[in-house]
Amino acid sequence: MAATASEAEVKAAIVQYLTSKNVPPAPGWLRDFMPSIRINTPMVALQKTALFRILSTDLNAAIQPASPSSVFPTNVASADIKERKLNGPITGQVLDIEDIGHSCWSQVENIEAIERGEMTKGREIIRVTDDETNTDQNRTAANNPSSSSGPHKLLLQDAKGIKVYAFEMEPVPGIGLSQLAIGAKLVLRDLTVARGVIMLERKGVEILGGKVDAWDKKWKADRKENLKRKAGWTEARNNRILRPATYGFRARVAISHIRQQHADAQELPHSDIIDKSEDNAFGKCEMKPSTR
Amino acid sequence: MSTELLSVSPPNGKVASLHDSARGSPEPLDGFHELVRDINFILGPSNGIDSAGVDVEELKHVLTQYDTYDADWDRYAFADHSRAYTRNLVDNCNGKSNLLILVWTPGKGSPIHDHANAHCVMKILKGSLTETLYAWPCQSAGDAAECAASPISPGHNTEHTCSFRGAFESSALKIKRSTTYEAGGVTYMSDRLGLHRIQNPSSDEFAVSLHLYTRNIPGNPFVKNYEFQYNFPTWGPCNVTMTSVIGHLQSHDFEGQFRYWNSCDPSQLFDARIDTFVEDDKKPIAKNIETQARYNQILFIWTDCDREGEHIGSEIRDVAVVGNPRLRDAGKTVRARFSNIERAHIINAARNPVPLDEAQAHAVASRMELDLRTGASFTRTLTMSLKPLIVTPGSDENRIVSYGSCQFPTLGFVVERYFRVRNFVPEQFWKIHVMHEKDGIKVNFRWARNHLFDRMVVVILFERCLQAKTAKVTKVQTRPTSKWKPLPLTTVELQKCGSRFLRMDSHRVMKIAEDLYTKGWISYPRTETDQFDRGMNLQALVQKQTQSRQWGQFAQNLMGGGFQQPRDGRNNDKAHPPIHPVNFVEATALNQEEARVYEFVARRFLACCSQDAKGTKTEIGISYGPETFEASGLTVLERNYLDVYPYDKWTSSQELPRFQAGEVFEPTEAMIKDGKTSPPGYLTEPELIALMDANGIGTDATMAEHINKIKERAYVETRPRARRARQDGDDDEASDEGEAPEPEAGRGGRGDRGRGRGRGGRGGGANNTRNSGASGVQEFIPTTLGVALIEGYENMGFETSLAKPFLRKEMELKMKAICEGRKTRQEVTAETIAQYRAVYARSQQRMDVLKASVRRYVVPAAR
Repeated sequence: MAATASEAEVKAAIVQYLTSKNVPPAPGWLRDFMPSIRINTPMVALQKTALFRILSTDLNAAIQPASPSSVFPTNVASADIKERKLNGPITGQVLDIEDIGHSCWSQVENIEAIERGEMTKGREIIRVTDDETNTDQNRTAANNPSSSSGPHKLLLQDAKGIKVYAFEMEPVPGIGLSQLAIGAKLVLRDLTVARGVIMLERKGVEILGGKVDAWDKKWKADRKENLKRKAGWTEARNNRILRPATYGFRARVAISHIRQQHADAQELPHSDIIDKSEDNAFGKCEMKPSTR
Repeated sequence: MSTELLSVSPPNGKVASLHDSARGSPEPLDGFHELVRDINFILGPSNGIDSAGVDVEELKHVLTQYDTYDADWDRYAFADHSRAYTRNLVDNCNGKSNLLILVWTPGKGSPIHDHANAHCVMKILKGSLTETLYAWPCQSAGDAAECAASPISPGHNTEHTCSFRGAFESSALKIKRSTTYEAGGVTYMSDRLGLHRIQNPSSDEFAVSLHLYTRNIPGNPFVKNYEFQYNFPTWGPCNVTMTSVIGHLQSHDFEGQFRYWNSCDPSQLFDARIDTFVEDDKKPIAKNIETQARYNQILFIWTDCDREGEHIGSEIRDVAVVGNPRLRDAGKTVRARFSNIERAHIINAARNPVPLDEAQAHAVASRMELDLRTGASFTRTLTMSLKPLIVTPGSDENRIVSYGSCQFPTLGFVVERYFRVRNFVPEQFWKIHVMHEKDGIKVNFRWARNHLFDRMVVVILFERCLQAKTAKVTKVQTRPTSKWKPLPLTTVELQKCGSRFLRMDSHRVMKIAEDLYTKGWISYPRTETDQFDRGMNLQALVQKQTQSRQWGQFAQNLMGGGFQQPRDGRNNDKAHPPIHPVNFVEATALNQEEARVYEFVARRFLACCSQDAKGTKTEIGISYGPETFEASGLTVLERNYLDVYPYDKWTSSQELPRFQAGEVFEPTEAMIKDGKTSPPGYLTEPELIALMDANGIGTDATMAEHINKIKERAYVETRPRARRARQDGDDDEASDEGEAPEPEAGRGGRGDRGRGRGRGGRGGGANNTRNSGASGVQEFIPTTLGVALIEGYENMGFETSLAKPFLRKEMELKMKAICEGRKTRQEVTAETIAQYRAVYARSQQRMDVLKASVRRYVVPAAR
């Protein structure tokens, strides 16, 4: 009798703790988690264990959103909405992270340098020995500051599986190629979404951390190929976006480009988004004529 | 009690003025000409009096033996009555000595003179002559520092010269003795014996004498023995013999059985015995030192104060102790610590001898052994394995595929950059550009983010800027700024500047700088030091530059109060000061290239002694929507050092209109611009030097040689970097990113388009060096062989590729450890040999990989 009460207590304490961290556990997750612990372990340790576990699990299966405001609106990624504010707190997980301040090719070159067992410090080529590479978590950035200087673009996903891009408007501590693993969780508050992209600011981001091992491994394994492809390495230069001739044209190309990106992210058919507002996506922008 | 002292220095003056005129025509051999023949025979292959292999006594003997007979020499004895004496050249003994006949006017005599380090045997042919010997003035005055015959007195003449030019009154000098020689008398004179004068005591009779003067030490026209006296605080008054060496005295090679290419398996060279010996051409020099050592109590070494110099010093010591084992005793072999050849500095060094630094000598010995073993083993195996692939079958082309532990990493840098250029994939980036026109001035604002590689994000940010409509001035800051004057000049910096400003490759610049150094115009050009010693009198050096027509006025202004102590860099090799001019020389006295290098060194030095350039920098920051933009303007107020140093550019920018903090305006123009990343250029020499420097490949003394070596081996070619040139056509080297025309808008940011991409000129060899529009900086492109070697080794998949700097760097660090006493020479040699032996074994196993690489890149000409 006492044991059952204690287990319920423990359960409640864990739920309460995880909820306070904005990761309220889903019943299914709890069901799997509870048998794996020993009840008489100190509560603080149990709570930490629970948090650690939940942070390394796919959000989709692990948490139960407390309210509609703790997930993204379904049309959060719409390029048609110029700006909207969301209060949150919304818990999301990181699916992808890119450094958009540096060309993909320069990042490929860095990766190749590491593969060859060398890094550069200024002009000096430094040999990376095995004991240094063991901790692959902070290898990249520690030795090569340029690779994490950003700004970064993240692809986030909430508990309902809705995906959205986020742009690091100002350097946010904890966001970086080597600091933030794939599957890491973060909590967003008072956020601005512009044309379907979250404008990340330091004050609105709380990083819980964690990682989903399998995702992170795959991301790391594929990263070089992805960067190369993005740089246009394989498909040669056929797939290039045509250089627009006029700015007006550019604006149209631009907005459809945004849609394209969102569509890719959401894995939605393009037409869904595109036919909504071909006309005035940028009609309201004052495009000043160039003097050229 | 005076001490005999042997000083050994590097050769300074290269070629002394060799008098070689009036040769006699073939003669029937009378007694006199038999004498001339005998003298020639005695001097033989050797080279002068009092040199190794020549016995002064023997010369004196044949001169004494000769019965003077006027008619034999009469036709040489031309007398000019208006002079005290007349000199007539009889023979120059195959360029080894000078034989002269002097005719003395009655009652007249020579001034008091020294022999400018020459030796002389004299025979009276007719009449009589009185020789008066004087003590050296420095001995009587007791002030060694004032001794006119200090080591730097440029006494290169082989003949009777008087360095005192009669400046000494005979009354001021102490007479040691006076002797009158009658006809037939023979006497020997050298500076060791003092000053002397010769007089004809007769009032009516001409006297005639025969003089044999020395030249160099045997076998080498550049090495001489100079003699003088000097009062060293350490040893008191000494007779000093100063001689020199030419680089390393000793050579090292494998024991005979291993010396030939097919004599053994190259891997045996890792532990084959190495012989130390003196090459034939150095033997006379070594012999000279050995002989001189016999008469001397102290060996004072004056080689350059760096590791190499220390090692040469130890070689000299080794040779000297053969002649005089006591030189091995403590304090008997010393060295001078000096870093330039200014008089005061040299005197100071002479007065403060220090022991030879054995550790540094050991480090060099260790490095030489390692270089020999690794170089020979890898070179032999590479050449033997690859030669069939790269030499046209049937041709007897003798190609060597050499390996050097510095060469390969140097080549590695060139190849790595080549692939970076070739593999480069250009990418598009976007940026927001804001322009605002105010007071008739168009101000361009730079985006604080510079540019981003994500178009979506840029467009969104741009929209948010436009949405904000107005921009607000957040910062107006005007503050003083300065452009720092350059640091004192080091070797590496000189080499880099040489390529950049003087358009000379590092090898050339060093060669010229060394010439300028030996001529006494600039300080020692091999130095890592970029800080001037506080005690150095820089103003005196500046003063010397006031004579220049070009920068003299600037130097004058420095003397008039503009002088400022140079900045201190972070390096001090404790051996040599930064490179600086030590004396002024007119450009007309130099050849054109020398003049340019000298000008650079002088201007750099004056720039260092001047003041930073000063100006004001105005920065205007605006926030526009969520984004920040900046504009800045520079006004140069005082050019200062820039006036003398045209190599640096710093000019005022366009003036900015007045902005107030908090001011709000609607930008005249805002737009997204795009651009493309561009590939890096091929490696230039300054970049290569910087890479070698940072990675510890070679020393400042050898970098230029390594670079030259990879050119010589045809591993790389150089060509002038083209300026913005993009020729289309058959340039198969241009990668394929260039189809789309570059939009003008894409300028700036990272995409600096001054893309170095000239015509490939493959296989053409020398014809691609003249390229119009070339800026002149040389860029390095590997040859197919160079690429094949590096790629081959990389593909072998070793943890430590020979193409990378790591192994070599480790070796350099170990050399340092020897110098600092943390490791012994034996430890280092053993460790390093083990490393290279392992690499050797593995590359033998994987030689097929290297061969495949060579087959892939190098197509033999015949096929």
